[in-house]
Amino acid sequence: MDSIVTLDVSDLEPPQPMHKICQTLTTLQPGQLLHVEHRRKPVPLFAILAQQQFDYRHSEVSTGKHYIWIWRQGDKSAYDSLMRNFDETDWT
Amino acid sequence: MRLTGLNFDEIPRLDVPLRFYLTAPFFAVVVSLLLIWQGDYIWLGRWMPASLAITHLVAIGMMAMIMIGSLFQIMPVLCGAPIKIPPLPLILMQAGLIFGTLALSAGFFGWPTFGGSFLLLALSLGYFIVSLLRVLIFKAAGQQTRMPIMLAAIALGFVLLAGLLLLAGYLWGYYPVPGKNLTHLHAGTGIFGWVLLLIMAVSFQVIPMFHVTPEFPRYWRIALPVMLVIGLVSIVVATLVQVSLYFSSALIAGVGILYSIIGLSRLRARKRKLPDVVVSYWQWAYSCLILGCLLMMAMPIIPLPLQGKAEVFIALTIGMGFVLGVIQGMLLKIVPFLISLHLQPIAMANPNAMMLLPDHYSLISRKQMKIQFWLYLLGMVSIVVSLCYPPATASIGLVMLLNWLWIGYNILTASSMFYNVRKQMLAS
Repeated sequence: MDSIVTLDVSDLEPPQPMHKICQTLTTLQPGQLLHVEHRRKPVPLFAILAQQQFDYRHSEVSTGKHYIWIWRQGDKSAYDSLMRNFDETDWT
Repeated sequence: MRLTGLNFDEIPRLDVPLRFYLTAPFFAVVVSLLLIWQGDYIWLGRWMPASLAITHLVAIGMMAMIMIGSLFQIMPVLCGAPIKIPPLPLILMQAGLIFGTLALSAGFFGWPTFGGSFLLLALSLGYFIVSLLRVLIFKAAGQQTRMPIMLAAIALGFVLLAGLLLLAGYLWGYYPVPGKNLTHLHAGTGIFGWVLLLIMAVSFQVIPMFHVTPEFPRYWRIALPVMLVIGLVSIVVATLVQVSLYFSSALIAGVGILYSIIGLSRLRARKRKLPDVVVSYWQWAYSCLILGCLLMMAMPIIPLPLQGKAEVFIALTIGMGFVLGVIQGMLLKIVPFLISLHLQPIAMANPNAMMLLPDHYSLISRKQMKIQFWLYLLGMVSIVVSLCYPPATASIGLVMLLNWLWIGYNILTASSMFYNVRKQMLAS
């Protein structure tokens, strides 16, 4: 089992990005981190994540390129995986 | 740290925008029947009672109704802050808008209803403007969207104020500004301030978002609203000092053309060139805006006897071709998006329900979208035919009637599917 699941939704039209991300999250195992590449900051998704007990970090890497990391709230192993693999300074 | 503190509970229930969207077809039916009844009289000029009634039924009953409904959803999504109006005041506000608009239009036909419309529109629109500005000033994030929406809201305030002053003239003989300049200010700020500024602000976000195009360049996102505001301020100044509004109008028309060209170039640069009815809507709407703005600039060279007819044609081209074109195209994206947004959390909470989640095109099918678009295009054809052959003017009303009944049907079937699927998902 990979500790980081990656998903690129940059070229999809709404509501497909939200749908794909939510679909992937339902299969996310304990210890796994979802790394999403998006072309926008998905504000409505953030509202859904908070409601569904997921935690996330967001970073605008460059214009039109956003990274979002998502994991289940309280999943320390997934959080550690985030801290090990990605640079915290870019997070917003 | 999270950038947005938006809770899902703060995103308005689906019925909030839907009730505004579904009111617009009702007004469209009233407008269509008036157009059929009046026929070629509408070409006599925009000062005729029927033209004034139709203009306000379209501007408030259709355009503002849908734009206000959309703002309830757009504000949380684009600015991270919802417009908080409790359920009862919301119902009263919408009722004020509906009955105020009907009373205003009846007043133009000589009914003694201007007093009622003055009160109802002042309270309902005034309440909405204050509620929106409060969110924009104190809570909204996303500076690049927040500022143009704030300018649009301020423009709506000016439109309302000028409209109330004009009504005060009808009611109590109070005319603070002599001549037609206050009316021009009211109309100009309405269509190019409130409507165009808001469409611009929203399009800067939704065109790249829904159509996977490159972003609008930052300098245009700033320069276009700024130039538009300069044009609008110059209209206010020209009104106050009683000079011709032509140069201000020409400046605004220039901004309209520039904005359309930039918008069209963004759409041409979209990543996936798949056929999409909503892209066609944008392309036709921008073309109508260019045509209307060119005619505005050419007004001095149009022979005087034809200027009244030209003004009506410009109003139809920009109002029905551009504004209503953008609005009905965007509804095809926004309604399915909102339905998905409201069903998604149920699917996440219960993975068994995920497979029940409807596809975008099963909510409003491609065929339904195409029929809606062809009716819109037929409306444009009927305007041009009626310009050349005025006895055919009733056809504009007939096509509009069919177009908006179809839009109402599309929204109703999608929302009815939402409630059915939601029930099934919760039961699964």
